[in-house]
This record gives sequence, structure tokens and C-alpha cells, in this order.
Amino acid sequence: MSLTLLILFLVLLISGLPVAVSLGFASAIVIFFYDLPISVLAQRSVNALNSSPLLAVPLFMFAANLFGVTGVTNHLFDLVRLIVGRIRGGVAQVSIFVSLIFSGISGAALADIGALGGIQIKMMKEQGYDEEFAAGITIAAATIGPIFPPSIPIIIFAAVANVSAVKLLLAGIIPALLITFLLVIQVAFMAKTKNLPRDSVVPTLSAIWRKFLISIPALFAPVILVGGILSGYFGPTEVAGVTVGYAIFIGVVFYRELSFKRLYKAAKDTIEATASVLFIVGSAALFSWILTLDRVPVIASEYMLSISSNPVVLLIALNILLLIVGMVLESIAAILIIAPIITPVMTLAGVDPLQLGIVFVLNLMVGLLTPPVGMSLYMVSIIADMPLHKVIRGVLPFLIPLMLSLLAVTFFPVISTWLPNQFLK
Amino acid sequence: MFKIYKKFRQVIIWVSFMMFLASIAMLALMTSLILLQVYCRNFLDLGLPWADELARFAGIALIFLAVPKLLIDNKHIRMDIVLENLSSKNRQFVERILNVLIILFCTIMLFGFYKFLLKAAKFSTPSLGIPNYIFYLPALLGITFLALVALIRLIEQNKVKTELNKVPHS
Repeated sequence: MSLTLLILFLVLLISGLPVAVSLGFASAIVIFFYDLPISVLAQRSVNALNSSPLLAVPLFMFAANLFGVTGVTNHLFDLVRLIVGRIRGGVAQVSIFVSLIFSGISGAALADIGALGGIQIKMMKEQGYDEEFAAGITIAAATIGPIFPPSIPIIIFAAVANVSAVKLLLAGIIPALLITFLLVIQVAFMAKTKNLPRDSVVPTLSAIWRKFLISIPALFAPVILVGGILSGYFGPTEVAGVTVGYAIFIGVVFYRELSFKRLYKAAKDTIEATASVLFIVGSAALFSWILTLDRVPVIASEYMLSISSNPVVLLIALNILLLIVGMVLESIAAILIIAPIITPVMTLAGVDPLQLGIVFVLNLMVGLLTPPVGMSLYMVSIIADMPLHKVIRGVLPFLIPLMLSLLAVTFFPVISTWLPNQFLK
Repeated sequence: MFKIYKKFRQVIIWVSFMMFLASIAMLALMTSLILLQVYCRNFLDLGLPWADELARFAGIALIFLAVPKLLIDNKHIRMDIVLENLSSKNRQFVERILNVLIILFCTIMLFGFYKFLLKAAKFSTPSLGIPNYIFYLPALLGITFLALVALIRLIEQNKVKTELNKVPHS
């Protein structure tokens, strides 16, 4: 039954049917022909979405879009540019730091690329960077977004794997900072070897101060978010709601840029981005229900534990599996299909679920950079109007820091577990 | 016949757009309810289980009400690398099959809804007492109109040079 399901799904997926319909249709056919109760189709697909943590997904996306339409993104970019732009390869470093700050208000790599990619690549090209490098660093820096809270894939993983979303979001902070640090080192190294230019804008203290003042409300958003989660004052969904409220407040009162038209645009973009993702969540619930019925998680557990019960060996095997899966499967679909199967095995073998969540999501984010289903590659190819092979060539050097980060979170669980265990016992 | 179809097409696209607007309204409702919950719990020491339930209903409605418009705009996430490498003729053929598959999927789903609601329509949600047939209505509407949009796309793939060909194809 599961094999039929999997083959059907892959055939439908490759043929170009929407991911949600591929998952749902493959499941529906199996349910129909194996004489399973057909009412499950309605019940499971809707009930999977009847979840409070999942409400955070559209809300975080809405907040990020609101910051985008009110020009907050541009203020942040200008501020960081004034501070670090003058070092060699400065604009590339700016891209990394802005991605880090923006990741504190957005929860998806593609949202980061959408909001920042165009301006980053354009500026780097204007300053004499080659376009492959510009595309590569933009894509690599966007992987910080889904690791640093808020993060849509992390929230979905938490919901599927029955892990505390708050703890898992906190678990992403240090790995995200590690990725940032390694990318900064990589860019500094490439700046020397490639003789990358310094930023043409000469900063003055008064200009930095002016930009800082105007950016304060925007910089305060990640503080509210992380502080709200750390204090235990809000849950992830509530923090998302408060961030939306805050974005609307500063957009209207402080920046005075949030017209009704812009509010509509932000809402429209949010619905377009999240409805397609969450529609997949509903269909994937049917898919994983059949796998569970067929005892696939149990069989997978027994098989994996027969290979080794060493958590590190299992995590390495998981890394290899997810890197391959990330190449061919959309990341949310991959979480929804694989996480329910893998999580029980890994926790049984002694892997901390927080570490597992971060390793899982980081793997799939690296998958966004790899063809044939590297969504980030396609997005930058469209934004920068560059052929795909050039974008791929540009991203290759940045796989080194990303893979190093992946190895670090695989071998040292403390990187993921220390912070949540400190604050939320 | 052509006039009836034109009217039918107009109605489907208009309703899909209205459903999309309703989806935006659901986003606004959901945000307001979450903020209300935060305010009431932290400042009035008051829990609002009904607000949580209504927010979840809005969350579900937000997704399903937007689904038909996403198909019109070709915004569903899909893997089109194989499709893009096909010749125009083969691609059109595959697209046609894909639209048929979407219609089939929706039909089976609707049958599932029918079977489920036959048993469960009389039950209601715990806090607000929303009957199940209302709770599942957005999903039902979304899937129905998804099928109708796919049907329009299928018909219009055969009418390449008519003015009906305004629904974007992938």
C-alpha cells in the first residue's frame, strides 16, 4: 500500500501536478482502491489544519510582508550598509547581516529572497561584483531565515513531530548565528582572493545616527519576538499576532507609509504564499495517515535501529537522506512526509528532538540551494534575470560554510539544545 | 452555448475572487482574535477559548477559500522542471491531463466530504457550537471551485484562439 502510494505520488509530482494535489490524489486513490473509509479524506485534511501553532505561519508571513511594504527593509539595509559597507567585500557582508536581522521578522527563505534579493543583487552588480557571486551570497544568506526564529519550517516540524514550538524556535538561534559567522568568514576570505570592492558610500557618524534613529522601531521587532518567546509571555502564535500588530502600528504611526492599498498588497501576498503551503499540510496529513496505517514508521524504526543505535551514525544517515530528499522534494512536503516517520526512531536512539528539528530543517534549507528542486535557485534566477546554471555556479562556494554548520549541529547537540534548556526548563 | 459558457466562466472567476477576498478577511479576523486573546489573558486575566476556536476556523477558511484563485493565478507550488523541458505540443497535452487529474481529485474529495458529513454534520464544535457542516463549508467550497477552475482551464486549452483564453495557463 505504501509503495503504491509513494510511486503514485512521485509520478504525479514529477508530471507537474501541484504538490498538494499530488499528495492528496495519491492518498485518495489508495484509500479508494484499498477500501479504506473515504470519509477520512475530509476529516484528516481539515483536522490537520485545525491547529493553533499552524496559525503562526500566515501571521509571521503577514508581518514580514507588512515590514516590506512600509519600507522597513530598505531602512535596515541602508543602516547596515553604512556600518559595514566600507570593509572589503562590504556589500556582500551587508547582505549577510541584513538577512540575519530580517530573519528575525520573517520565517521563510523565499520570503527573505523576495524582500531583499533584488536590492542586494542590484547593489552588488552596480559596485562591480560578478553576478554569480552576488546571486550565490544572496541565496546562502537567505538560509539563515528559516533557522532563526520565527521560522515556518520549524513551526511545521514542531507541529508534526510533537515538539514544543517555542523550544524549537529558540533552538535555532545559535545555529543561525553560527551560519552567519561562517558566511562572514567565507565572504572575508573571498573578498581577499577575488579582490572584492569596498562600498562606494562613505559613512559619517551623523548619517549612521540618523539611519539608526529611523530604524529603531524596525530593530525592535526581533527583540519583541525573541523576548516574547524567551519570557514565556506569549506562545509562537501569539508572538506572530503581536508582531503583525506591531508592524501595523509602526507602519501607520511611525513610518506613516501603510496605506490601505499597501495593507491589501501585504495581505494578498500573505494569502498567496501561505495558502499554497498550508494546502500541502492538509493533503500530507492523508499521506502520512496511510503510511502510519501501513506501519511504515515502525518498520523504518526497526530497520534504522538494526543498522546502528548510535545517535551520531543515525544523524549522519539522516543528513545524507535529507540532502537527497531536499534535492527533489519541496521542503514543507519533505517535513510532513518524513518527520513523522523519522522522529520516533531518532528519539528512541537518544537524539534530542530539538537537535533533530534543527538538523532536519537545516538539511532541507541546504536542499533549497540544490537542483533540480532548489526553489531559492529558481527565485534568484527570476529576480536577477540570470540563467540557472550561473546561479548554481555562484552558490557552490557557499555550500562550504553551510555544510560546516550542518556538521557542527550534527556532532554537537549543545549548539541547538543549550539555549532552550537554559530558558525553558 | 458559447454565451452560456462565457457566463459560467465569468461567475466562476468572480466567485473565486470573492472567496479570495473572504480569505483576506479571515486573515484580518484571525489576527484580531489572536491580539484580543493576548490582551484579555495578560491584562484582564481572562481566557477566551471561543476566540481560539474561531481563529482556528478562520485559519482553515483562509486556506481553502484561496485555493481556487491560486489555481487561476498558477500560484500552487509544483515541480515543473519536466514540464518546462517538453515541447509546446506535449506540454499542452500533459497540462490537459493535469487539469483532468485535479478535477478527479476534487471529485473524490467531495465524495469524502459527503460521506463524512452524512455522519458528522449534526455534531458541533466544543466552544462556539458551530455545526460541522458550517465548519467544513469553506473546505467544501474551496474544493468545489478548485474543480470548476480546473474545468475552465481544461476547456480553454482546447480553444487557443478565443477570447476565453484569458485564464492563465502554466
